[in-house]
Amino acid sequence: MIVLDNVSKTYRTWRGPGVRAVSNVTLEIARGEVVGIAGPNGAGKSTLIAMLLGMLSPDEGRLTIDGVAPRAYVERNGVAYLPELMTWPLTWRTDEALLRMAILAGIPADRRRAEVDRVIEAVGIGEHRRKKLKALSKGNLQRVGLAHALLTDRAMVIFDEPTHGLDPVWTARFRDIVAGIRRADRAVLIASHNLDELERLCDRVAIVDRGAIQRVVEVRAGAGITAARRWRIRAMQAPDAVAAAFPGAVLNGMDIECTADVAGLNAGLAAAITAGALVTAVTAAESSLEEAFRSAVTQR
Amino acid sequence: MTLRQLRDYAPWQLRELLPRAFVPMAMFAVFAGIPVYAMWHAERNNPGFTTEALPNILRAAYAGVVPLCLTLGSFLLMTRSIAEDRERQYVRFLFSHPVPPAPLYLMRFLLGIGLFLLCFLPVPLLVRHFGGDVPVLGTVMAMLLTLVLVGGLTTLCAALTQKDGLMLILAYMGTQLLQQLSAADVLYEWLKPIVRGLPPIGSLSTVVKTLLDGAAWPVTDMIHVGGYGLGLLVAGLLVIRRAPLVR
Repeated sequence: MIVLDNVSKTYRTWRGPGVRAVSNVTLEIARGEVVGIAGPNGAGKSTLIAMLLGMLSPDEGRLTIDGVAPRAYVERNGVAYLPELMTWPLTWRTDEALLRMAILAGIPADRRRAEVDRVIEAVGIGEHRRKKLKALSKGNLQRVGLAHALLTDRAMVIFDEPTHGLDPVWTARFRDIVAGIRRADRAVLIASHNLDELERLCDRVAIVDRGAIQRVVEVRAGAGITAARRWRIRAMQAPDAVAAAFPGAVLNGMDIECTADVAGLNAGLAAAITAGALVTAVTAAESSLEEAFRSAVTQR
Repeated sequence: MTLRQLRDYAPWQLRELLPRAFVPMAMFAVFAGIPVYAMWHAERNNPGFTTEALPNILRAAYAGVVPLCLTLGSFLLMTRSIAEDRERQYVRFLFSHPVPPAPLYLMRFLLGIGLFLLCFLPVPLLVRHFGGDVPVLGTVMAMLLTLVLVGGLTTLCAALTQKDGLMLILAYMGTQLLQQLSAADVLYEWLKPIVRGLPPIGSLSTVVKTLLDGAAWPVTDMIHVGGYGLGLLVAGLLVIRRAPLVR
């Protein structure tokens, strides 16, 4: 659905060569996929999103959505979009702000109120519906933004730092919402600093740094099970049996740190348990995405 | 974007424009009200005072203050509209919907003109009510031409740069200065055709003055001013259509 083929963008300045914000990005996002974009500040995520929304054109390369230029696609179909910062005038009332967006979204007049009520309920801001935006907390404002993104049924969804300012309860709720909008005919793109969130929500995560995609990591459940990873194991009894089951493991009291793929981990645990170990916890020392991110971003 | 969507969105645009559209009337009340009161007060102390002096005072104040109100009012109404949408990143919300920017900004432009006319119309009507024989239709035409030229120039400035207000002032004052120098015949010959091609700011002042005086309408100049303004507007909308929406 979305094709970025060697896309580059340079911000020109009056003096000097300008800033190359996006450099030779190649990525394809199919319908049905949830793809994350991770990267440090200034990595080029916002420029990429601006190009996907058709607000900026690439200087080089080809960017198409369903075979057409992004601006033409957005003007024809629209995109469900949640930006990093809610920049609506703060004097607007919550329900009125959403109502005016519902007009632009092309929702028929007889359904607008009902759709606004639906999204207000979906993001739990019913009690704030008649308040001005300036009276809302940062988290509630972000929920208004989420309501805006959920107003319409679009084939392309872009969330830019979606859980920015949300409390833990609503961060968890957001995951349910993303799970709910995942559909075979829809592409969802999430840009975030929160690697844990991306790992839970996405099928793939593109790690962007210095304007370029450094790596694309498969994070879909089940992906990467053959790769060796660091694990932390806690054993209440016979921790030395656990350490013995994993060559090179480090034993520290009841905690053991070892490296193994998923099959090796299970085999080692089975051997340790047979040898009398009582295992109480097994956790990944570092997520695969975090590992990939760290190695991609620190290779400067 | 359908016409129905534009129609439904119009009240929201009007709400945003309304405070700015009242400014010219408020300016007239202040700039004309004070001298009219002062002159009226001074006249009343004259031994030969009659109320017949009021229409003349009103007419003089009207002719002196209205061109200023129209120019400044148009500046205030038209600037910082598109640029502000960009500055506060509001364009990302507006145009993530199936909405092309040009029709939306054209609608805002037309609503601004309509609202300005409605808000300022009571001024000539009230002045006439109190005996000042001022041309209502001529005032409406003066407003329209000022708004179209200033609005067109602002739209183009906003499409090209983030500092539309500054650009507008520079373009407006620079053009006015060059046209005055050209009229005084103190410009290089090669510069004169260029100056003739600049926005007809000098013609606008003359046309507005003629219209407010109630003299015969200078139709050719009016077409030139209005046509140039519309040309600038179309150029601005084309740039908005083609240029990046965020900077």
